Amino acid sequence: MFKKELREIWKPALLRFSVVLAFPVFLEVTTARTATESGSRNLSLILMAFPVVMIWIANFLGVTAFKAEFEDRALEYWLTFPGGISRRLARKMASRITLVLLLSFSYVALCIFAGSQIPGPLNPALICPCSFLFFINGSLCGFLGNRNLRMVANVVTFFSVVVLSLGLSRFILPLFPEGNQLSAAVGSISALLIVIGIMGGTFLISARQFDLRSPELFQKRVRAFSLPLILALDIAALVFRYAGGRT
Amino acid sequence: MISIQDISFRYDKTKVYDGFSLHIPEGQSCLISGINGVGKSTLLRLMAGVLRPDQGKIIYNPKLGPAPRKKIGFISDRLSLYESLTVAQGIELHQSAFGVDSFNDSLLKHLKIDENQRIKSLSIGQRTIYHLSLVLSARPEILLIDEIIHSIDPYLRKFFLDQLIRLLSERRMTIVTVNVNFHDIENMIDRVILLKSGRIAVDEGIDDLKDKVKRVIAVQPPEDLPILSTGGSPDRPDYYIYPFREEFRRRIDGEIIDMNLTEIVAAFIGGEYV
Repeated sequence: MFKKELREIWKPALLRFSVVLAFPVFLEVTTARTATESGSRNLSLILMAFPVVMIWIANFLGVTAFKAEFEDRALEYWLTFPGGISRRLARKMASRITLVLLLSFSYVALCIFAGSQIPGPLNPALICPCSFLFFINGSLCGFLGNRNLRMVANVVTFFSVVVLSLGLSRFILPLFPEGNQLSAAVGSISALLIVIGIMGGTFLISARQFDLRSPELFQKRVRAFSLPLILALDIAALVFRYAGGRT
Repeated sequence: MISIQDISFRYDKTKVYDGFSLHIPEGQSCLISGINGVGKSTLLRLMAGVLRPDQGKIIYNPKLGPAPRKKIGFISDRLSLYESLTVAQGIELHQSAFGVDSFNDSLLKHLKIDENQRIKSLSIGQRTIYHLSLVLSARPEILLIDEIIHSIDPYLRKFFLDQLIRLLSERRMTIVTVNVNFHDIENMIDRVILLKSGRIAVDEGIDDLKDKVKRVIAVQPPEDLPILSTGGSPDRPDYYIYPFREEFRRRIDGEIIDMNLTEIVAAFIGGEYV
């Protein structure tokens, strides 16, 4: 089952990567031999595009985790498969986590290849947890049976998770000595890991109770509670940002 | 064997079961019926494990081992399958999920189902037989069938039930059906359970039930008769009696008629609508 799942998801992921990265890679390959400077520019372009696509794919893998079950009306059939629900969910997630890990390793390899000229926000130590965060965020939205609601919830939570991570890092950063870049990075990563913990915990609690009713219950909870709360959080963050707070 | 112990279950605010218990012994064929919305399909889904009780537990025969679901076959009224797969891909998926090595495609061949056809292109009848083939390939010890076979044509229905009867003659299997065409399965089932408001209203062996439910045609039946419901026309009323006792024969001035399962279930359900 794991191999089957992996077989199904790696091709679309690779296709998305190829579409976005084809042009800069082409430029890199064709110009690197003739002009070192423009070659370096192209590599920077790849270094910028790669994490964006990686996060996008990680989120996509999460949000489409139950796509086949919902669109094929196969959720009930899938739930009859042997093994406990947590085991089945773990199996489903394992293939996706493997792919996110592979992408993360590829990015680390690319950064090593690029040398030390990697801007702070593109640091793999920050980008890789980020991709996991958005994978978990997508996976939580993936529980929603209604396709449109799933997409809306994903977009809203995507931005709210960013706001939450930034907000947390603002609290954590002052704990480190001022001007220390490494400490700042550790602060940001800590904030990310905390948010991953919160989201992962939510996922595990939700998964434990998973049955045929879950998508419906999730929709109700998201409509009645999560979406309004998330929107309120976002508005509060924006008000805080523009009413004298510093970023 | 399935033992449902003190379960409670609700859909959002609607309570379906509260402290419900039921024991179905190994090898028994059981029919569950009741009015629409009483929770028959929900009960089957709880037994199949696709719904989880809010409280209480469902215990399967320890003989089924640590993964009892491998030996539970469930055919839902929604006919839930991966519709975008081809028939062959669906078989492969089912085999890998249930750890099955072989698949008997004789039913598919009989219905001229092509392995390269998409599942979504199959008719409801074909899909039902296909689902049955998938389920039987795992050699289930417990078979749960929702009322889906109502919606298939008489030939496929007979074909479906013939397969079940053949299977029952080959090996001991626990079967729980919901509202399957009563006439078709009358000779196959051992026990009838009628649900009412989330509890068991009637739980009888099929022969006992036939002995206990009678139709009485009389102008004026004795007042103390336990009348379940009434039918017939105003000038020739029928009275459905439950539980019928032999002593009633002496007191009733009219005709006492045996009933088949369809009539019995209709009499019980009719009583709830009055």
